Order: sequence, then C-alpha cells, then structure tokens
Amino acid sequence: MTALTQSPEPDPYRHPTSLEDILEAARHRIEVTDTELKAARQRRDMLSAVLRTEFPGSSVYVNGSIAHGDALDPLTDVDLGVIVAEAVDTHGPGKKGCSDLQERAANAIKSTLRPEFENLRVEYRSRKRSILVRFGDPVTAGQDDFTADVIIAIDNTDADDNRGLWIPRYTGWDRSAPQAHTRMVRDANAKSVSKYAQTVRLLKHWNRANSKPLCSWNIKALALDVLKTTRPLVESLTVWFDHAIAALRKGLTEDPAGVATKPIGISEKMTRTEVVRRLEKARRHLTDAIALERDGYITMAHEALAKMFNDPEMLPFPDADRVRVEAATKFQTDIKNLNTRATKPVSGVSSAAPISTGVNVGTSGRPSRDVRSWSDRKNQGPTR
Amino acid sequence: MMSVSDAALVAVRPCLASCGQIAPVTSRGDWFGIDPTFHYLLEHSVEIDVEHRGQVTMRVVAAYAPGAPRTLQYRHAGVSVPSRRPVPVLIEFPEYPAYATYGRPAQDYPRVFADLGAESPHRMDRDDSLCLYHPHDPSERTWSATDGLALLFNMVANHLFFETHWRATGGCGDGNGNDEGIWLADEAPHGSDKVVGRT
Repeated sequence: MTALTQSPEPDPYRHPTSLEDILEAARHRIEVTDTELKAARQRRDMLSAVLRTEFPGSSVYVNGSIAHGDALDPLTDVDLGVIVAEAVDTHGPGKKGCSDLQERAANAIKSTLRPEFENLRVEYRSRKRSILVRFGDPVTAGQDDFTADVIIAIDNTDADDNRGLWIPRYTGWDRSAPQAHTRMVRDANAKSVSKYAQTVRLLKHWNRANSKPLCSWNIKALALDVLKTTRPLVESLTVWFDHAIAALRKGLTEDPAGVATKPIGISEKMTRTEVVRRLEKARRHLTDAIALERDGYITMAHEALAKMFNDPEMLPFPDADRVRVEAATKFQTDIKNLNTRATKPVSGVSSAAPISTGVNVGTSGRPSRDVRSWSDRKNQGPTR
Repeated sequence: MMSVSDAALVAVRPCLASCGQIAPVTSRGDWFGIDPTFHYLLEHSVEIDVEHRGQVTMRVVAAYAPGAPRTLQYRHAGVSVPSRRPVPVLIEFPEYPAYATYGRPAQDYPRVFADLGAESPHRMDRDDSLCLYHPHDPSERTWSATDGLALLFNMVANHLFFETHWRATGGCGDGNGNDEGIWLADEAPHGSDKVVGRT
C-alpha cells in the first residue's frame, strides 16, 4: 500500500509566481479573523445598548474599519456614534457644548460595563472628538488592549443644509457625515467586488509601517475616487498611488460627502510635501516591482514589494542569495543589451557628458555609468 | 535635508594646508565646498530624485584650529542594493585632498566610504574607500561633480552590489588566484603607475 503524502501548500513568499500572489498572501496575513471580528462586534453592541438606554429614542451608527470591511489584524479598536435625540434643540453650534452629554455617556458606560470588564477606563476630557473606552482586555492575543471611539452626535436640523451631523470638536461642534461615509464605502466595496476593501487594507498597513503619513479615512476617501471597479491588487495599488500623489500635490483631501467644512488632515509631524514624497517613494518601489516582474525577474520584484511595505512580518523579504543571483543575471543581460545598442547621449540633458551610459544593478531606468572598477594598490589582490 | 547654511558660515581660509596642495577654488576664489553654485549643481539631482530625496544630509567639518582644512561631507542614510538592506554611504570632498587625484579636479574625485572593512578587490589602499572608476577613463565611464550626486549614489549602489556578488561567489578564493569571486563590471589594471595616460 502506498503511503499518502500530502503535498505542501505552495508558499508564495518562497516560490512566488506573480506579484498578485504575493499581495494576496500578504493581504491574508493582515486580515482580521472571524473570532476577532465577533468579539469586537459584541463589544460594539454592548456599547450601543448602553447608549440607547442612556439616551432614549436615540439612534446609533457604526463607522470605522469594522463597518467599512477593512479592519486590520491585530484588531485594536471599534468606532460608533450615538445621535442624541433629546439634545437636538439644546445642543449644537450656538447652543450648549458636548461636555455634559459626554459625561453622561462616559458614566453610563462605566457603570454598566465595569462588572464585565473590571479594568475598563473611559476618557473624554480634553479629547478632540470621541469618548475613548479602554476595555483593559484585548480581543487579539498579544495586544495590550482593545478600545472603542464613541462619538456623541447631534442631528443637523439646519433648514438650508441639513446634511450630516454635528460631532464634537473639543467643547464645540464640527459638521461631519459618518453615515454617508459608511454608505459610500459599502457602495464602493459592492461595485469593486471587495477589491476596494482589500486594497485599502494593504494601503493602511503600508501607512502604519511607514510613519503614518495619512489617516485611514484619508486613504479611503482617496480610494473612493478611483477604486470602484474590480481589478488586480497590483493595478489597484498603482491607480491609488497615482491618484493620491496627484491629489495631494494639489491640496488636502476634501470630505467625499461634501459636508465637513475642513479637509482631511495629514500627519501632524509632516508637511504635505513630505507626505507626497513618501507616497512617491512607495510608488517607485511598486513600479520597480511591476517592471521587474514584466521582465521576468520575480524574485527582485518580490524584494521591491517587500521594500515598499517595509514589514517582514506581513511581507517577508525573499532569500537574499536568490535575489543576488537574479540581479547578477539581470545586470549581465542588461550590459549585453546595452553593448548591442549604439551609445547615445540622453537627449535633453544639458551636461557636457551624457548622464546615463551604464546599467543600474537594480531596476532599469536609473542613471548609471558603465565603469571600469579599479584600485590604487599595486597588487591585484583584495583588501581584507 | 541639505542646507548650505553651515557651509556659508565658514570663513574662507588661506589656500595652504599640511599636505602642501593648493585648495581647488571657484572663479570667485572660494573653496568649492562653500560655493552655492557648486552645491546646487551637486545636490539638485538628489532633490528631484524620489529614491534619494530626504535621505542625504550635508555638512562641512573642520578641526577647531585656525586655517584647519575643511571637508564637505554627504551622508546617505542607505542606498538600495539588491539582496541587501539599505547601505549607509559617506562621501567626502576635502578642501585639500591628502590623496592623489590623478590630475582630476578635487571636486570630481571625492572619497566614498561604505561597508568599511568588507573584503573587496576594488578599494583604495590607504583608507578603504571605494574605487568606483578608473580616474583616466573618458567622461562617460567616470563621474564629475556636474553629473550630480544622484548618479554618484547609483554608481556606489552598483559597486556595492559588485562587491556583494564577488564575496558570495568566492571572494579572494584560495589566495593564489584560484576560485576567486566574480566581479560583474569591467576591471582596470591596479596600481597608481598604471593610471598615467589611458589604459
């Protein structure tokens, strides 16, 4: 009797066949698990019940990554808001601020949920928008905690323009349209057969691993402009980076619902120029990867993609020796091709010498020189 | 980001140094290392190159002594070399080079340091700097300051890859010229006596 042997699962990181395979594998690594989602939704429902009880007749809305279908693993927070029915005539711009409503909500959450979460803490003073609920109990093993951002909102009853809600801005109010945002994202997900959420998830992870130049909502708002059809992840990422770079060069991103008066903010630590620079660098890695794959250098393409994401846990680098051998082959092939062409100065370059007369060991297209390596040592031997 | 401010604050010093060489000067009589036009020509390519922009810092260093020679330094946080993590690079333009420039203007023959101490057949004997090109080769096979730093960093990345591949394929072999590693680029004969005239 022949023993049955199970063939091992193909590992796209060790033996990649395409960038799309690598991205699919990376996407799965950061996808939130059903168990995490279930636990997060349970907590969100508990908060929702507390808020409905505290503010009778009010409605609760959900937004953020779980509502939008683009949550990342590890899952660390959930977002929801309550539209306080009783405050529609008493609170809002020109009326009362949000502090008393936030205090009531915070107290209700504490008193109701502490029996179940003994380390639960609630913060709302001096915060810009949300009440922060710290459960003191993570839903993902190994994480410090799980939190909820709870927004106290007031319906906008302006006779001239009643779109959106009023949400806190410290003790005052700002206009926002979280429900419209969730509708728009869900619509994009449906039209793109989930490619919108899959691409956004990859972009959010890139953002996290690269100093967070953008907030998640900015990534999604930009994606709403361009990711409404189903296409491969590689193509979706390229389209998004092209669009984001062009849009952010012009200015900050406006609210896609057209409600918020202020555009979406970028990282407080960076200028818009710096944010664009980071996006351009990522796009360079991505276009390098695409060009290398097209030319048959899949291991080098894999390395370029790993450099872009900058997180070996999510997208491990390929074996260095395999990259080296492939890069050496590529260099020798490119040199051969260069030598079969007449060397001509690059047109439009004003330098007396042609800028590029050689082959770059990485991706083609960067200026380099076909040099003769040398040494001032008399002997031919190496240094040690 | 690069800035010429610290360079501009340094007073122009007499063109004499311990090595006895005359410091290379601009048409205005200043050392090129504090000349804004030189800086622009050198740095502009880095400012517009996505890969290098924001990665390079510049400073002028000098000993705390009157007339002490200055050195213009550029540090790259890490050039991209296939199969390796980013490799930091230091480029130095000394006011009075203490090394032979083989007739090349000092601004066209800087010292380039990376992977110090790594085994390589193409390093300078005295200070382990990289021997990127033969100094008497034609302009399309060498580097000049007017080509800009971006090209130089790309050439450095190439050289570092050639070294990496050479070490991985055998390095110095058995020491008797056997089983040595593969050097991917063309190689010029070694030795300073060989550079008098084209080789």
